[in-house]
Amino acid sequence: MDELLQDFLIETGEHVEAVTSQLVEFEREPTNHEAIANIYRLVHTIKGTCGFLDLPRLEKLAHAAEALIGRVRDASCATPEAVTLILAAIDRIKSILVEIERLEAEPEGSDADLIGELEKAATAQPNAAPPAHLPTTGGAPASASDAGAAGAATKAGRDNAGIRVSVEALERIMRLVSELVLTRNQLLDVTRGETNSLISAPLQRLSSLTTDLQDGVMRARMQPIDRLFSKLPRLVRDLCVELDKKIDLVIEGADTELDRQLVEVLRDPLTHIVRNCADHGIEPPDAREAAGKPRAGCIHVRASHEAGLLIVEVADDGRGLDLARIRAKAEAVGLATAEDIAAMSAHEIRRFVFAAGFSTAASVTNVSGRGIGMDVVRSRIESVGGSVELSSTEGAGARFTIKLPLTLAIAPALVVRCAGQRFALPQQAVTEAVSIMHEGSSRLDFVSGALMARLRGEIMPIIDLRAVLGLPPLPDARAHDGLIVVVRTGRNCYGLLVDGVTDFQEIVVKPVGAALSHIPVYAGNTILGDGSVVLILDPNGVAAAQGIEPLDGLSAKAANDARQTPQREATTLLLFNTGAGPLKALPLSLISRIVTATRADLVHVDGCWMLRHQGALMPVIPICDPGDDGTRDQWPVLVAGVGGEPLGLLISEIVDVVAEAIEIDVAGATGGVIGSLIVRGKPTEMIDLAYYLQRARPEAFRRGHARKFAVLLVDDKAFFRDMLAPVIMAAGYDVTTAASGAEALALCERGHQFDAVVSDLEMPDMDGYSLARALRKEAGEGLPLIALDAHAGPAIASASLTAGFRCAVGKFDRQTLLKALGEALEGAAFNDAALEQRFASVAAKADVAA
Amino acid sequence: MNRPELVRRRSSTTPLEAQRSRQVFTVSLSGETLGLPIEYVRTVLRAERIAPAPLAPRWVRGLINLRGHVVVAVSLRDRLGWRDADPSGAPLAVGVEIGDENFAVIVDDVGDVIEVPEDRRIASPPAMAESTRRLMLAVYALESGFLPVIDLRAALVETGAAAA
Repeated sequence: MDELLQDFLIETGEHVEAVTSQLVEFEREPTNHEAIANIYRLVHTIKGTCGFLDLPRLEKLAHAAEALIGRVRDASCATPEAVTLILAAIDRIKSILVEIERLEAEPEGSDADLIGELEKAATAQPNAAPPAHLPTTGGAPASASDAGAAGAATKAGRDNAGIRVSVEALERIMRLVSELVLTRNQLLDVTRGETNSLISAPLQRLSSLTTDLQDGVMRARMQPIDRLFSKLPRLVRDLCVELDKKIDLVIEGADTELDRQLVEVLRDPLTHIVRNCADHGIEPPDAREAAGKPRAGCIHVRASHEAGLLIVEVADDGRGLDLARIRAKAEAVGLATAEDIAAMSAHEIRRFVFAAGFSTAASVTNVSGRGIGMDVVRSRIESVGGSVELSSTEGAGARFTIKLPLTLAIAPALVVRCAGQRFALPQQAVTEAVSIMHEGSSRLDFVSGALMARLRGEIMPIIDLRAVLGLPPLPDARAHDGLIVVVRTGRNCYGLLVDGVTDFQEIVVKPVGAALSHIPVYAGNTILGDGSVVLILDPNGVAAAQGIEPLDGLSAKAANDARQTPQREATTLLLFNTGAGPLKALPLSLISRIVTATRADLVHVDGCWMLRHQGALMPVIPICDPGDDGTRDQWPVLVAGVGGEPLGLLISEIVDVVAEAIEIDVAGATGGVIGSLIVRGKPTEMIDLAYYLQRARPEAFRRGHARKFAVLLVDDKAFFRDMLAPVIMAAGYDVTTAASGAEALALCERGHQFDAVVSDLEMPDMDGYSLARALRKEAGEGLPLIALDAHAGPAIASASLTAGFRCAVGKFDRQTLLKALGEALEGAAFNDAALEQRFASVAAKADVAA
Repeated sequence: MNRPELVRRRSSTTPLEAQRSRQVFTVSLSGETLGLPIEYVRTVLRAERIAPAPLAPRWVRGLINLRGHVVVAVSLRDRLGWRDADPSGAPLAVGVEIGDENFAVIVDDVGDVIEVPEDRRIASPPAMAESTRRLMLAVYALESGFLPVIDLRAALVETGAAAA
């Protein structure tokens, strides 16, 4: 291209930018005479140069714009219409400049329409429109003007202090420096072992010089983010006009520098986010006033460096994210089920904003709905190894936080070994590497078929790199003497299973060629210090390839669900004393009331103590013997029992009421005590109420040994759950309780495995028979089901058998219950053939049941 | 990449002559002779230390470090879909540069730069396999036999993920 034309394009481009930002500034501060004079001068210059270079179209346009600007300057007022017109002219000039660059000549076309408008406005009667000094966009914060008005002045200053360097020249230098870095790495590699060599001192010097040179060149590639920020005042100004809102723009850290490449990456996302804040975030002035906020909303844009990253924050003080609407939309669009949504935290709900196909705007407005969506914003930022987060307070505003690496060209990386090959992982994404073996046992476990690892209390999915790459798999990952590299990106968190880590070096990232670019697992390739080529893995690509859902999906929750043993209900316990001896406990739900009995109230009848209670005699078990203490006159009596036959337990004193998940440590040896447990640090005995309820039966029930099978106890009444769960637990089983058939089925659906199910028959919503049928369908023949009923008569027995229960047991018949459980579970076989048999019979039954 | 003597002949062709003939670098593969358009050919090398690229299409053998540049090693045999086996030994490859992408095209043997007159050009022979035909720029009938000239751009760059 003609050198003159090229210079013209560059120079005029800069002028045009300066005019735009200064004009927006002037609109806010119409008394700034210097600004408007400056604008006039710039446009006049543009006009002159166009004439000189024989670009008539541009010249005519610049002339018309100049006339209107002159008018504005003289009248010292700027109506929004006038400013909009001038900006439109500037835009038109910009687009013509683009065409000139492409065609190397002025494009054909007429701007008569625009010129007409400009001339009309320039010659309009001064009283036609009130020369209001319109504060269209609220106050004039100082920092915004820093970016705008000062920009043009300092730019001129900057020009004098520096020289223009073409992008190509800089790129070439960058390439050479990259090669230098690689060669330096090679030299270091070669001389690694030799410490006393003559070469090591100069090599060290060379190495640090190279690092400094690398640093220097990278800095040369850096540009102040003001390049992007300077466009924002105009953008916000246009948005104010279009949306009829008042918005202040505050910019901070415009001189923060970032790599040239990243400026481009950030351009569209930043624009979209600001548009979004203006469109969806900031409320109209009336709504803001009604909410007690200033009429003008504020968008605060801030750039800074932090821990080797570039942070860009865009915050608004608008209405914040409407979580309810997001929930509704997510469900409507099908991004998640209603239950999952209900269980999500506010943070997880907010992430839906970034999901593809999501937009809560009732109509996609022209402003923020054009072209690029939030999901594209996020993927663009993530494609360079950055992250974007969204936080919000309903009613107060929202904040977008974008994090980007400072440069893309050279990055520290971890080199890992897998199946005899090496791969590089960006160090940014790696937080740590731990060995698979941990204190003799493996950290790895299969949970619902997927490999997971436990790391300091956190559970994360494990990705076997061999599987991702299609390399020969390991016979047993859990026994492997390898490493888990913990990878954390904005979106994913997982452990990558590799054979080992060989190295940690700074690598020059080169993009993969066309032949490999379609593979999402690779982010690029590089040459290591020893000259070998390794592929660079993309942490997000690897996760996606393995089907790991990113954390804005449900994988964190799903993982937690899968790994958690079903939580035991915390039971409210009454702690009390019965004279000498350890603390005693009884589930509070078993107790209907607590009364005080005096010596006079207690009568000893027929070998038993009785208490006058509510007009009748209630048997009282003296756990604490009243005869012991002659001085005492009153004792608390715990009244327990369901239905018509209450029973009183005489105790010494009530100590406390606590809520704990019951874990019987030691089964009780004496009747009346289920077992011992630790409650709040104190050894406590759990009273066996059932024992006392059936005191008439002299023999204590057997406690057998059983393997730790998992039993699911289903009963809608807490009383029975609390009564029987400890009993079953003390017999050596793992007990999970469910309060309804639906809850029981939900547990099974979520992947919890049970060896037997004990269920009440009479339950609201879903009775035991229906539950049994559902369980049979789900789990097949092999799962023993035992029915519980208050009166396990013959009718009940046969009905249960039909429904699929093994047998029916009376609720108070603990002996039979434990015997039935024992028989059912001891008989279970655990070899594969039994599994197949179960499947076969289920398949056969499926036809019958359907 | 270096430009060895191989390509010196190019500069001696007058524009008029260039219209009437084309310069082609011959290689042999499974006993057949094929031609590569000279404008992309840069050098000949032994493809050693190929770093495999898992998940890549079958015809991408891996990556090579060629004087500091990462070069994609591709098997011409596999790219054409010919099923016979590779000869043993370190493979011979033609260094090719298309745009800013570098490839090492693995062949059985290399030949020389020859000039093929355009009037020898024919429609592709019926016996040619479809997979081969698709990747041909042109076929010439010479005294020594047919010489298909490979469309390197189509074979290596404009492949997308759906290469044979």
